[in-house]
Amino acid sequence: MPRPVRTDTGRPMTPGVRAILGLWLGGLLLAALLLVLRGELITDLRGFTPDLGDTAGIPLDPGAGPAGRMLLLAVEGGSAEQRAVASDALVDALRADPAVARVRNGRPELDDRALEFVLAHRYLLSPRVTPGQFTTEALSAHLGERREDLSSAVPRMPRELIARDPTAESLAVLEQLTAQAGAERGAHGVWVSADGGRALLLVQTIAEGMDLDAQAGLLERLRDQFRALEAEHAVAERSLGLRIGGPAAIAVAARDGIRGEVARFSLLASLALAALLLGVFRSPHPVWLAALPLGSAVLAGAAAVTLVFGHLHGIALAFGVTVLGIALDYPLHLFVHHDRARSGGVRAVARELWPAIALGAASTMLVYALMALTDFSGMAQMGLFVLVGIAVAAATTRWVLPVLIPSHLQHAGMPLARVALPAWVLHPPRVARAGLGGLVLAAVAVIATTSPFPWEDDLAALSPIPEEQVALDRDLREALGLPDVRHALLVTAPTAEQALRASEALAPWLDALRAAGGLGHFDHPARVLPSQAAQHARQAALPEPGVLRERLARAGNGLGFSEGAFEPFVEDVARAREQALLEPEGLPDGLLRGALEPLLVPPEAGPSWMAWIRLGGVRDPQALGALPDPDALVGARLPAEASLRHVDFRQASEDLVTGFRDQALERLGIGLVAILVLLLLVTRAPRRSLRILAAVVSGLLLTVATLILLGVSLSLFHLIALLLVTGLCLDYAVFFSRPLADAAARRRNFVSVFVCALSTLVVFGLLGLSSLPVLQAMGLTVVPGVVFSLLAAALLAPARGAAAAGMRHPEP
Amino acid sequence: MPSGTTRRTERNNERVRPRPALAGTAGWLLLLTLLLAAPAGAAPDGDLLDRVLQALARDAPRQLAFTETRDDPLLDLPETREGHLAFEPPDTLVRSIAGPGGETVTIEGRQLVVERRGSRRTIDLDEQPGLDAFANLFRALLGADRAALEADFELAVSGEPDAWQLELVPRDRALRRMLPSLELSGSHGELHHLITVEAGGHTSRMRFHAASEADAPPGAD
Repeated sequence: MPRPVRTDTGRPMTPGVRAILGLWLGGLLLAALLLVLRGELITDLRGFTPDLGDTAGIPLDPGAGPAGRMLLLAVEGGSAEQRAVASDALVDALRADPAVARVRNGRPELDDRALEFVLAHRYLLSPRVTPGQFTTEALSAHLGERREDLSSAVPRMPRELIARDPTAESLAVLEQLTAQAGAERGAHGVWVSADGGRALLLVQTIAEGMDLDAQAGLLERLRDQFRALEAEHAVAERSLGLRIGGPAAIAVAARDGIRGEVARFSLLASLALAALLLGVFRSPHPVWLAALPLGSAVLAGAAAVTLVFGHLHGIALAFGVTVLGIALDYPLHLFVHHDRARSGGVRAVARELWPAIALGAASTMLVYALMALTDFSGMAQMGLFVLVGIAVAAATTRWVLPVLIPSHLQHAGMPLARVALPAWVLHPPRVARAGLGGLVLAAVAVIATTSPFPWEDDLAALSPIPEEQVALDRDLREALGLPDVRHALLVTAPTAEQALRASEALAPWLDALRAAGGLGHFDHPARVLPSQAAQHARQAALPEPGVLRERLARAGNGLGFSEGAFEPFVEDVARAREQALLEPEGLPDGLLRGALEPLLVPPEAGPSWMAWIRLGGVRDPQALGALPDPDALVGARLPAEASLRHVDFRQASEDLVTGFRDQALERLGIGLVAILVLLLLVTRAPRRSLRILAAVVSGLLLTVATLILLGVSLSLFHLIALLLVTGLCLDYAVFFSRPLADAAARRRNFVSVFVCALSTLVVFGLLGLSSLPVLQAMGLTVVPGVVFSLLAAALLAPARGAAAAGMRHPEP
Repeated sequence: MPSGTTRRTERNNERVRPRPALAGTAGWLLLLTLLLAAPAGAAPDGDLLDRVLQALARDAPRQLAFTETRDDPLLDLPETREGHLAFEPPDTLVRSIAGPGGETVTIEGRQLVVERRGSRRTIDLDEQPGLDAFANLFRALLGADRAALEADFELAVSGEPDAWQLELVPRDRALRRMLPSLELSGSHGELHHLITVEAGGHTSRMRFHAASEADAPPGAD
């Protein structure tokens, strides 16, 4: 930004002023334009995870993968019949919804087309098709059963199909496709809970589980449908209720809860802050002026991240805005110091404060520059966002605010409400400094002796999901016999055929694990669609028409079947021998595709197909984690290009949190050293530099020790709050260490820092009152953080004489 | 009669996986509904259908012997067998066919048990969606609800009270595909024939005659 023309006349709209305002407004406009045209806010965890290289594209949060796309519905209240009617009506309504891939309520979902397809391809799809199924002996057993079916009042298979399918392969395929382990049908033919009090449905969405906007839309429509159908069927007596579980429902509920609470508390905090500023400055102007650097910072930061990364991650934005709270301090310093008429007006004040603001800003920016350089894309985004934001906020305070302050205040100053400060605050006794030293040592002792360190890695612990919702989800999941949300095996391979072969090859190993009790059940894509190799082997197992006729004649001897009764069977088998093999792309919509899609995912961005092997009732996660070398495991049958791994979604999200935390701490550590170097280089005053750094470290140590003593487990959100505290403390320490000889200037300086601290305390103190764990964590960290930072910075400030003596160089 | 729900809780755990509708059961499950129908006692005004239904409800005996002839395109010769049909209040119906190829089918509440050559299968009627219409029919008749009956079937009655024919065509498309029609004939409250024609030409003709106490079915006490 060019240096403005020095005009001390204070008349607005000189060429220099025009240039500044033009640049500022132009920059904001550009940033806004960029965000409108190219901005993309990503809210799922995918964009936040570190780049995993060869495993790129594998979603790591529990809402991803096939389990995340399941919504579990429960209809409650009314009579069992009313619930069943509602369940059926919901199915009808949801089948028509384009966002729903599949909906089941326990009734067979067979339309004629699906049945026809299964019939036409039964010899490719049935796992029972082996040479042994078509020997004379086996056929004899089958024909015997079919003969009984013909005379029974309750045939084992529809008599209609006997001539075509005497070995009952179509039933075997259907049974395999519609099986849902554990789900129980109630008195009216729909799935019910164990006590019969709920009718259950299973909805599979098209959208990914963490595509929360799509999921929220679907949930909304779902509830509307339910209300409409309630009205339609005029449910009398007790009315029915619909409850929804599943990862997406939980995530949407959590998001809505967070949004509402955040909006409420943000408004509350803003109002309180406005009231505070109004009280302190007795003028409305500081209120709106103070918002400008922060607003510009957010806009510029978001635009910069979008420009570099192509999108902005919601979490990076939320964290970034929190940490940018420091940008509020800069204008407050300006207003407090501009408390009376001065020769140079407000611009002179801005010029006078600039070295301190710039030094504090530059030090803080150092930490975030280090974060911006990580390969952890979420952290890099946050780093860049804060880096750019702080620079813009500082520059806005320095050059834009002075010209925007109404002209009558430009020279007259903004007289402060009197802030009474006791003398000892301005001249802390030496004993206080020793006390601080003792406290810091105690803090170090607390932190060092707390073992294990109370990290909270489970993000769910901080999510605002009511216990009731979690219990509902667990109950429904159990009642429906759904696979585990936590564990899955993932096969990746260049082709669908390889992925299917690999999942076929894994089945025997999983069967063995199940037999050993380590696993309840599993489901894999080749169970729905066998690999072409398996289909080919099945074709080869089918006898030639001549051979089959001969065997049938012998097998049916004496059973009374008429000549040629099974000619349709012979024809079907002959056709199946020549049939084109099935592939994922060729499946018709409906039952088969619906069953296959969540398990076999075509490559979207990456080069690989993904085959999910869903696991249920995992009792021995270690066996899964210790998955042996895939080739050794299944012999040479797993294609060389395929990879196999055990995905523990919760572990993955914990690893993500741990990774973020470790990176952040490491960058903070390096950053503090870099700050010391920067301070030394800029101020050329080793004592002042050490004082500033000591204040920051003391503030952080005392805050962390306080949290530990309060019994708080430190999460990612506490860490983010600590990053903000670091910035605040740097700001306070830099200001306190300004070499000021004048007692009035020292007092003003102190008030300035005090007002900044007060405003932060008001905002975060309010957040700390929230019932939302995330906001509470932030508030609970920042409040003691500000207090300790202020204390440490004040106590470590050079004494009056020392300051004057220590000033070897004029301020940079 | 106790509801199916209370019955369900008592049934054993043997389960049979769902499969397409068992059309063959449909025909004589209909009989169950006729046998169970409580005497209506209403005046015999109304049309022929009303009178037939009322007569059946009033007069149909608790036990019937029958001769079933199955005529199947897959078989060389028609098959003829003798059997019994017995109703035990409140809700048990037993159909038994004697002989080496015989079987006993018991419907109790919403559970169906097939015993054949020493093997036993238990089927939950709720898992047989094809029979859903018949379950509704059952309820409709118990409630003397002709409207509900006509909601599930197209009914066509012909003849005179002393020689009537009742044709039932399922309205449900899937069920109708497997079981195009049922034909019931009789005289006043006396059943004569039930003819069931399934898709594929599998035909069952049941001729009823009063059972003597001597040859009561083994399934009924």
